[in-house]
Amino acid sequence: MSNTRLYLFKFFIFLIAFLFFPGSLSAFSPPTSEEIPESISAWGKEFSLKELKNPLRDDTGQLKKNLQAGQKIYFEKCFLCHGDLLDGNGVYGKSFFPPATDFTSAKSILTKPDSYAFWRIIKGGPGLPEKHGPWDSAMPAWESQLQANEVWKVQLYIMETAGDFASPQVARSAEPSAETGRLLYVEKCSICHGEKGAGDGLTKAISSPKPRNFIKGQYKFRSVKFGKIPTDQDLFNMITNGMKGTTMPAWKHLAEADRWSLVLYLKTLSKKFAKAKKRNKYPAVIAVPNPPENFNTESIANGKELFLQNCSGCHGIKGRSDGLSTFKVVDIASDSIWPRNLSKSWLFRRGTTREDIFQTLRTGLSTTAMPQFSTRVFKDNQIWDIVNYVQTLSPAKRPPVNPLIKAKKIDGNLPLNPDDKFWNSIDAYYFPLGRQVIQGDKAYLPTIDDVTVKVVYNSEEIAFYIHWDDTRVDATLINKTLVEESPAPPLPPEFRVEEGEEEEEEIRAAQKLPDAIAIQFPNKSNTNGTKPYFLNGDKDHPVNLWKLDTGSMHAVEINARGMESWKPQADPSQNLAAKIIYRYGRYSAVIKRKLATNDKENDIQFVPGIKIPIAFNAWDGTQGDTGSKKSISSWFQLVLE
Amino acid sequence: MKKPYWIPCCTILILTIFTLSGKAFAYQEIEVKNGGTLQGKAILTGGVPEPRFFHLVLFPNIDMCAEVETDENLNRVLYDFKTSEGGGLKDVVISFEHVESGKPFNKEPIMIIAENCKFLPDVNVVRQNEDFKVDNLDAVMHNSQVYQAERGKIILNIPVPAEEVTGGKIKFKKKYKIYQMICGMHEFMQTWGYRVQNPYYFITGIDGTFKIDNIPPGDYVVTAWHYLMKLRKQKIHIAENGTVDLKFLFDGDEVVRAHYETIKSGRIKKGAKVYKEKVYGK
Repeated sequence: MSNTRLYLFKFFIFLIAFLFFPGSLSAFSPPTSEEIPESISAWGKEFSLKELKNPLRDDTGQLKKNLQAGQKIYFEKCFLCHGDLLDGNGVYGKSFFPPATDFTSAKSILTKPDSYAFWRIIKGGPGLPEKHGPWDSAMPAWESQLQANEVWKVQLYIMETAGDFASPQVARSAEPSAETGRLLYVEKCSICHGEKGAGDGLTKAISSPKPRNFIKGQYKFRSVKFGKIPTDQDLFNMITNGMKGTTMPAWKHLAEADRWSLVLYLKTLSKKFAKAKKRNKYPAVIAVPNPPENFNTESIANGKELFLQNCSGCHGIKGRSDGLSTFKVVDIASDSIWPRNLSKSWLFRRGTTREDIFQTLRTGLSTTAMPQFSTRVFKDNQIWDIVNYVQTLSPAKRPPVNPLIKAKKIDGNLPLNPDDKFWNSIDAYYFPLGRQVIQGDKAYLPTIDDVTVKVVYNSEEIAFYIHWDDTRVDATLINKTLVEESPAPPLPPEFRVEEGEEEEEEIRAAQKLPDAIAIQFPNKSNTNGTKPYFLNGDKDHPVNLWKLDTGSMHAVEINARGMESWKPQADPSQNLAAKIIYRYGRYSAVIKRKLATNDKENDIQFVPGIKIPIAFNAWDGTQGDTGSKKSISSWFQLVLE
Repeated sequence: MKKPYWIPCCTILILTIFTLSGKAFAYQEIEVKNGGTLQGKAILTGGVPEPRFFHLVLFPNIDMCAEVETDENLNRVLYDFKTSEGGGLKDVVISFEHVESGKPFNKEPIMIIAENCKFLPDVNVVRQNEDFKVDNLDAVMHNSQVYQAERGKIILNIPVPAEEVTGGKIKFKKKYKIYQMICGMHEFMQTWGYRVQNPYYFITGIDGTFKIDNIPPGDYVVTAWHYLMKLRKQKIHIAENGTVDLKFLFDGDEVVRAHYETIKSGRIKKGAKVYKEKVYGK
């Protein structure tokens, strides 16, 4: 390699590392094969890892059975993070730092001895050597949930299958056929979509949205009218591109002919396609016209009016899925999922271009409450107006994760009110949250997926501003703090009545389970770089949590030694002040404390210049979050400048 | 320590009393001898109340919902009072109060069809704790909110996924008798139910006539209920093998509507309280 090429190569590697693992998040490197311990103990036994081989590999008679068993375990335990395609792109794979391992990478367990995977699966993150940051890894120690032969089965599945996903596949048959499609379906799709395509595969219980039921012949994303069968190209696109933010991956590594075979097979699963063929009557494609260039204030103003009238009933007036109708019809467990949070464009399933949004509006999402916007009522230019307005509701891209919060020093008071304009001028830090699918009572259904944080301090105090989206306010807050909920959409002028209608003041009951947020620190900052386990510490390394819940509206200091061992501090040590508000699908809170306290044993002490680990937990009580059922973040860092 | 023997004894005694007393109030199926018959007609007098209009522009899925019962102005029209010549009124539930025993009580289970944003049938009878099913033929997810209509209190709220049969259970509070099921997204999707405690009931067809037979001889109170009218009651005596003719008159000028169901209100408000008021008549 020439010097210039080498230089460019190094620069490229650096750029990749910089983009994907900014700051201290880049620090993780997995242990090498040389770091495999001599032996480990598990299930009351000692395992010598030297020369340890997967005993199932040589049992060729049972290989298929063992692989199937391994696949089942993988899809029950591993796929939410490591993904269907074993590439680390599970729904929570990128929510944690370090992210879930990509098994299709040659650097993963693929090229390492069997004993490596055995060790890593059994001992998980907490069993990593200290220099690899065991406190940061979200990989559970599976010895408490699996037996040795199960570990070997899942290891076998990963080792034997990961290679299939690593490179483009050769077509099973050059000419697409429904029979090839059937074989591919059984192999690739049935684990989620079920043997007969009824959407009742193994992963149904832990997926949201649930895998599609193909028997109905109804697909959310089509280029044709609402409720009609999709075109072949629609089906091909869905298979090729997958569904962002769901457990459906992009199958673009399959040969094109094979993807067409899958299309042919999917069409056999519902009678609707055969019916259309028999009648030779297929729904017409709704073409997306060229977008007009009027992305101007007038169009956006028109779009806003149309949005408030026609969309805010479900999406809320700021697009955060908090519309008045929403809470009455949403039930995540039964797959009646939230309307899209339009302030997070990176989750738009179809895509974020103006054409994508236009098509969603004109065709709706079959089987959901999202209708098509009828040509009887809306002209194309009105749809474009709505599209233009929707685009103003969200940043174009997901905010980058900057893992080091730099807290600025301020002269004067730190406002406790999250609504204070002061906070608009403070730098915001965005952190993704994953769901707690690691230990104890797990939280599979997605709710709170990120928080935004701002931190400032003065000579005496430190204040944390934090906001997160929640579609329903806990009624406890009403009349006690600022609460603004999306109102019912206005009636068209012709339906408005002159005299005001009497509306009885509704008294809503408090939520059975409150909503809550918690900021986590180590109970004391260690300068040697070690940290407590990110999931609320462990018995030897306690953490200090500041938890604010909507039931009490107070922030409480808690000492925790693991997720199941929480203890509020005694009264003299409770030193937090907090205020929480709710506005259009979003909670905002400020929690303040003195920089230093008297309880040096349990409280984090803030000293400028020292990097302090910080993490977040969040609960959506409406969706059943409580205790270990919650959203969690990895450790990030805070430094007082 | 010696366990007191009277605790289990008392428990058994109390349980027995409860079980027996429960049975005493529940309907008993017996062989009816020399049963009589009630027949007659539900009649609408006065003016026929106007139908209710729900402008589809206010609701999602216009194209699908406009397939049925929609006028040229894109209004879904709910004809609550369907009558025949001679004033026969459809969808009136005729039922007997307090019948302790009689013919077998084999009620057909409730199956509600949701198609083109319409629930069918408009009226059912229902037993306490009865399971019901909603067969959603539409490609859109509907939602079934069941209200105890006397108070407008939501007693059940379940999603009704597209092209699926979904089940639920009607559980009234004591003494409540009417439920109303509304789709949370399409308020014009409405179906009603009247609670029955014995098999002596009849839902009138378009001619308004009814006939209930095999009634054990005795004195009874018969009620007639239309979902937008005040309940009618009449006392009757059934003689052995006798036939009683009865008319129930409903005055079209006395419509009782729930406030939140009128277009004036526009949308179901939070909490959906019922205001009984005369909204319009002749």
